[in-house]
Amino acid sequence: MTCHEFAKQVEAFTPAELSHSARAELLAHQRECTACNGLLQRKVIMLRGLQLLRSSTASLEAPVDVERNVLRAFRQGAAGSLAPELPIVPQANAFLPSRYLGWQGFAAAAAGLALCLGLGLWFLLGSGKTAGQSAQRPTASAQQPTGPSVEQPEHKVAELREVPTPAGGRRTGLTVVNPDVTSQSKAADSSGSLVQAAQAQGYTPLMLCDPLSCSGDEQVVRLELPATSADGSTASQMADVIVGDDGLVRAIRIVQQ
Amino acid sequence: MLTEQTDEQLLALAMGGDEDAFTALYRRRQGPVYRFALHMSGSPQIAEEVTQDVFVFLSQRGRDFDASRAPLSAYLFGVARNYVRRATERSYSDALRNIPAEEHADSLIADGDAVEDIARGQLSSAIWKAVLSLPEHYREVVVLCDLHESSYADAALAVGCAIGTIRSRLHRAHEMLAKKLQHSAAVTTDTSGMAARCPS
Repeated sequence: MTCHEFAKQVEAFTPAELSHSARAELLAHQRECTACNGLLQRKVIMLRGLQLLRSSTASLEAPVDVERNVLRAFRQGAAGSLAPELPIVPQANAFLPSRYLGWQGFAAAAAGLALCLGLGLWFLLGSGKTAGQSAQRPTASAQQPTGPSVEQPEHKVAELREVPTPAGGRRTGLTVVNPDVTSQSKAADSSGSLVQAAQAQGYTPLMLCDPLSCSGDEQVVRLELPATSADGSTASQMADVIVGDDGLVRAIRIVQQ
Repeated sequence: MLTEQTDEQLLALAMGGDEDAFTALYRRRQGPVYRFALHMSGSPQIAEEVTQDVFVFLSQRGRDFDASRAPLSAYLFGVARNYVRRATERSYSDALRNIPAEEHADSLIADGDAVEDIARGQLSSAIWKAVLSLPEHYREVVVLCDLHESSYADAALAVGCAIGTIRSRLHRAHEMLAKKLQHSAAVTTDTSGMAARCPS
């Protein structure tokens, strides 16, 4: 046996896997060759060490508290998977504000709500003044040639009248009113459809109204709008718009000149 | 009887909410998982942590186990291998410094010649240090095949590589271990008790 053959045998097999004859050849070569003897010794030491390590740790197990923790996790997982079959237990609602807010949060929310209410009341009480001021705008803006002008409709009855206040008193101011539309809008309110009333007069509705938000009076305002024709020239275009109490335009109609 | 059930049957029962089945499975498999983590990391703390993580994972994701792809033991070693890798990335250097074999050296001292016992203890300590100093992909095949007597096929499933790769890695790992142990204390060279190789 050569040293190369010896090395191949040692690397490929453990002594237990070798036949008697092969093992005898190995031992014979080992006695004759110091280098191969060293090689075999190293392999034997290594395998012997692994065996010792395996036997010395064979009885080692995880501590008892690991089992306790694992079983606790299993029970929690099992409880989770069986939850639909268990009696319904009231649990914290994920959307309940108390899960995320302390008393400071509630206090801040209450302060915000009070502020909103105060501002709302202030706007409501001051709405008479605002209406009077806004009604004066057409006169003022009519004197300004630049920008969209606000004029009273020519072919509709636009009148200056005194508006009765709920308290029985009177407040005066310019109010641009289209009696037809107003009366029709009230009729529409009763039927719940302002849009139909406006469409009947050639208006194009710009927003849908529900009876709650569009229950107030509407006003018709004639506006001069900038317009650009197809050839690029610019010219003004008159339009009647129905404006609600909230200042939002309900419908618009282009006036043919 | 739960003790007669296979691992896969116990797992199926456990996934149905049977705590006794899960307990039986844990008691059957926690030792190998713990020792695997201990051999791989050299740290009893990491081994405990990994064992707990592996079985908590099994309790939560056991339904994902596919018995047609691998036996449960190989699956558990594969899960443990990932947890060990994660844990040892944090503290591998600490484990090397702690010389883990010293913690269990007493268990090596058997009745008999005191000098031989000490030599055996030294060898065990030296081999463990040598195993821990191996690169991870060599260390895991030594731990699986030599220390846990897994077959090449099971080791390949746990590691996720071909059987031929396991063979070549084990061969190379043995060469490296033999060199590391070259200067170890002289021990008995009784060849009759050599470690069995992985049954192929």
